Amino acid sequence: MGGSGGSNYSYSPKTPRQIDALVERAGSETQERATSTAIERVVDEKLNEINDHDYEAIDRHRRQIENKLRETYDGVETVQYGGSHSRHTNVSGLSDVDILVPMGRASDAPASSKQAIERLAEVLRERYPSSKIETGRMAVTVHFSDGIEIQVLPAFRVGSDRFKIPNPNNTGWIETCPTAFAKKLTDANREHNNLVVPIIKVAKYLCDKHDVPVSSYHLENMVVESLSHYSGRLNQHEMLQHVINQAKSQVLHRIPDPCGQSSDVSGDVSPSERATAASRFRSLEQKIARANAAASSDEWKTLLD
Amino acid sequence: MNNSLTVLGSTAPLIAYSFSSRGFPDLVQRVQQLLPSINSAFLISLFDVWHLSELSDFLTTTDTRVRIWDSGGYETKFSDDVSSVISAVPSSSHWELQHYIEAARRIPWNGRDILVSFDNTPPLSVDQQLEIATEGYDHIEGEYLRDVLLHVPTDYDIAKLVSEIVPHLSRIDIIGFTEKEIAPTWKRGVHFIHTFKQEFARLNLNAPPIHLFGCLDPKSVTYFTLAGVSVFDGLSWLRYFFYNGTTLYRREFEFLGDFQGIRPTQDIDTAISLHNMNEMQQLHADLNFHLTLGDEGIFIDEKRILQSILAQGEQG
Repeated sequence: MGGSGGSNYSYSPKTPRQIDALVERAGSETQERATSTAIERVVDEKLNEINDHDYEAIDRHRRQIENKLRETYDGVETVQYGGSHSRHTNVSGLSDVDILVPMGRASDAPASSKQAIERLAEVLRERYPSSKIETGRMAVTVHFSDGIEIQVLPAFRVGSDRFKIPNPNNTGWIETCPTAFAKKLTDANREHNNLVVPIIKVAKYLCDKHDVPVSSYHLENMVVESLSHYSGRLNQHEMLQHVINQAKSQVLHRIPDPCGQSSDVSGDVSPSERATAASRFRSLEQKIARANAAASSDEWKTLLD
Repeated sequence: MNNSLTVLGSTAPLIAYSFSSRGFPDLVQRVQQLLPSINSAFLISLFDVWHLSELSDFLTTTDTRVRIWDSGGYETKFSDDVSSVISAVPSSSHWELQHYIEAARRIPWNGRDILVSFDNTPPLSVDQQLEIATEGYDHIEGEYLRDVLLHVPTDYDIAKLVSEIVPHLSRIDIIGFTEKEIAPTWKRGVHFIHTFKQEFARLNLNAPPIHLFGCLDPKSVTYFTLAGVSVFDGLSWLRYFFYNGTTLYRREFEFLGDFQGIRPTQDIDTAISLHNMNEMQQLHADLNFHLTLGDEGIFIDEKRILQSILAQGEQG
């Protein structure tokens, strides 16, 4: 019968040369699979390294901060982890720990977010007189002597999942839904064999190491967006090549913040800063492409070391 | 009139994945399986909206993607070339201007819609085509961009064509041509696009964004983008297999040892189409990077080839 066939299609080589070619191709495919496995192992090793967080110490600090704030303010609820720590996309040595302190209902929020942050800093200085405590535009940062830094963000509840937090200029308050992006991330992670979170971590590490100027939250959003329609192979090294390929284009344009905190997840990035980031992403993409095409995992080791 | 840039977005081309009942009797099933995965833009024919009521389930105002509503000419007219597929016989159903208008009135406009002008007519002059396009649009209220599809005979005088279009510019957001009609080869096609844009420049006018219908394979999209096309659509992503920038026979994936894009949960048709979208998504990122930053690195060979073709003129 004709050749449109089904899955039982087979091909019988007739000449020794054809047999040799098939054997050679099978050998080459086996080698490619072995290299791919070796590269995944190299990436996994780096992941183990950048996953090294002292969760016990972090949680001890969080509880202490919560206790102090509950003593001082009425209506303080359980303190929540925010940012990359809450999404498990934090990278050891790169990521701060953010905590969100629900301090009451939205109607309780003082008019000035700046005053709220300054008052919060005073309370924390009472609790940690020997620690360095800095006020930022949106949060107070406590530098603990064990090297852990915690950013404490005051929040006032608007709804079950929405809060008022200081705006990025610290001139008042904006509403945010901190779980909106986390939900997108969780969905994407589930759809891609739980590989999205590790890919974000390795991408953050690579961007830091290869001087790609991009914020952690911006990068996370780009990765989730680019993988939301990804249909290629589900392994870390090829998915990383895809996300960095897309990032060099995504970074050139605004991306609305799913949490509603700002009109653009990149914050306030100028066109020339976007162009620089795009060029660095392009350079990183080329390095990853070379490492993925190499016959061994050595180039990936160099890329990550 | 409308701000086409708001819809077309960045400097990179708009890539619309087309669906059609012509050659795809399982159209509704394909739309159901593939539409959720499209993140850029898609094209559906008003002919199919009119004849397949099940499609209305997928048409919502909350869909924020760019949607191109095609005229229905492809589904009803013979227009074959070397890339045509034997099974893609046009429908014998009637398709008149009134059907087109009524089908368009069913569209829940989302603010990012593009409506292609009615073209199921016998061969007409450019002026007559523009008149019929306007007549259709005048009967369809809504917020959409006017994508005027012109059928021009091969080797039509481009200066004459531009002079015929210019008086109608205020009523055109996008000007469309079919890849098959502008030239018998892609080399002459890029020359057509280049000359068309140059003719507008000679008149100190901005050419409207150009939509090249029936053109959606990695190589053509690359060269025609570099030549100045802004919108692409086509069915190649459903018919062929894109691999490292080339377009192959679908079954070819079985002979590529390093292709493992098929997942156990997907049928082969769906998996190949998703893979093709992935390839186009990567090409789109490369084109956006190149066009936005003027970086010559990625398309250095293609630019050189294109320049050589354009330098050779119409004989290219």
